[in-house]
Amino acid sequence: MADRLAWTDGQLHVGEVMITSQNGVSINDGSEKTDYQKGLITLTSHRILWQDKSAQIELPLSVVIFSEKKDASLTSKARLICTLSRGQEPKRPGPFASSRHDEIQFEFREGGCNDFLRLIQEELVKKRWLLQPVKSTTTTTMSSTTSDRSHRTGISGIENHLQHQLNVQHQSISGAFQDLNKLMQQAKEMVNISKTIATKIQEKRNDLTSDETIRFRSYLLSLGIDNPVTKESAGNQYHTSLAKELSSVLEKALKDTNGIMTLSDAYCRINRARGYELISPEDLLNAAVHMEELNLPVRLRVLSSGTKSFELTNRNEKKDLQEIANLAESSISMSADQLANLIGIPVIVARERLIAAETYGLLCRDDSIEGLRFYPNQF
Amino acid sequence: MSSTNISDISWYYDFPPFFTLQPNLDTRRKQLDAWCSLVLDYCRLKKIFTFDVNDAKKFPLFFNTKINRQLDNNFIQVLLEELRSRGNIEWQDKNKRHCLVLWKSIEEWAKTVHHWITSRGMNGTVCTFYELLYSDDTLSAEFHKIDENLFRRILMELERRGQATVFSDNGAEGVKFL
Repeated sequence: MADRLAWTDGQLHVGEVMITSQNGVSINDGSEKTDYQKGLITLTSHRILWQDKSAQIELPLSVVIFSEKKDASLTSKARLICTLSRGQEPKRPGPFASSRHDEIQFEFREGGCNDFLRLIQEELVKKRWLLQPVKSTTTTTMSSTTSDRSHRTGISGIENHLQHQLNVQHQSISGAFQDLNKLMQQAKEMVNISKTIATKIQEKRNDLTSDETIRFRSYLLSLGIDNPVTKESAGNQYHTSLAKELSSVLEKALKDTNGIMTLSDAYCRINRARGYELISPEDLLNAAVHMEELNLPVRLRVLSSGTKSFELTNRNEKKDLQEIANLAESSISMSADQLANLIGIPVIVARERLIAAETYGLLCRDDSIEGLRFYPNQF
Repeated sequence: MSSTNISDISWYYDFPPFFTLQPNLDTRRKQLDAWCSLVLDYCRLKKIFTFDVNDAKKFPLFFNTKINRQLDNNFIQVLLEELRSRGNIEWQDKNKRHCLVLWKSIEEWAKTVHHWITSRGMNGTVCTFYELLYSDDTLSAEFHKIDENLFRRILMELERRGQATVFSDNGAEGVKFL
């Protein structure tokens, strides 16, 4: 019945308890010798595990009907004979496809047969595999070294387990970064393509109408900036150069969005525009600090709520607020999210604007259970 | 008179921000101006002479069911303090729970009473408070049925001016106009 043996990864299942183990045990199919000689046999509450350097085999205790000892003879050492049932479960992949015998004999070359027999008989009485059905801990068939399989309990077992988990995580992380690297390469290709298109447009300028040229150019711009400032290319001028780049990219965007944009929005836009060689939030902030001293048309401003945002330097605060007040007047009253929807700015900025208009005495507030709304100041 | 619509006294009454204490100080000053005149106009119309902070939540002026807004306690405190600093209310107790509402100052009241007495040629006569406040003779007078505490304050003012002498006899208070 050696066909009941199955391959295993040697890991203990949840709820499974290791009971004893013995070296130098060979597996015989009935009385016939097999290739599996002098391995380590382990008894757990659920299974008999056998392993050597090349194979790991398990035998569920549930298929063992009874076990007995055959004493040592002139030709062989003491043997443990396990009589197996012809179970109903489908055959799992194992070392033997079929067998003519009803029993498996474990030959204990280095002794320990008596102890093993006593313990296995105890387990066969307890039938713990019925009380606590096992659930496999490993979902992946990770091949790990045989050395960390020999210690599954105690502190070393826990350490091995952690090490194993760490390996798995490490592999998935490096897998993820491989994807990212690929993305970066592809992005480079994309930029190259856009450059080629740009040169082609230049060559065929005469053949295209000006309208088409403009459209192509806008597509190209949306693909990315063709020469992003990087730490390598700019050195210690990095942040100031970056500030200039930021300013040129954001100026147009700011004109479209009411002259103000939160730092986080700007961060997304700038990295979207760069396509690759992305900048870190810290670099963005450092660059933004330089904006004012460079007299750029865009500057960083900390709103009273603590939100950092970019705004156009030449923004006419008074005029903008008056516009907001006019909007509030035309719709009788205004809440921050209404204003945000109306002029396409983040709610937090909209709220900031409304409070600023209130400070200028253009609006007054109505703070009720319905929320904070602003009305034209009619006092 | 009882059907007076408060919105008719001040259109602000239907303006929701009117019920939120404005954080902008300029706006707040104008808002409090509007509230003070609304309170005084309302009390004058309704002939209200006293106000009790404990009943503030029931004071019809302080909630507007039409727009579902009401003053919170903090706002009421600010408003009362504003009225006091303008001399429009006078606290009757140390805990500042009960006050006289002076939509007409004590001096003005004193003049009104004195004018009414002299025009009737009642100088030198002795009257009880009750007679002056509730008898049919004073039906036409502005001080008819005003709050007794307020009336006492007015007569004390007249006494200070030397135009009346207040005395008390077996719990019945009287006054002699000079």
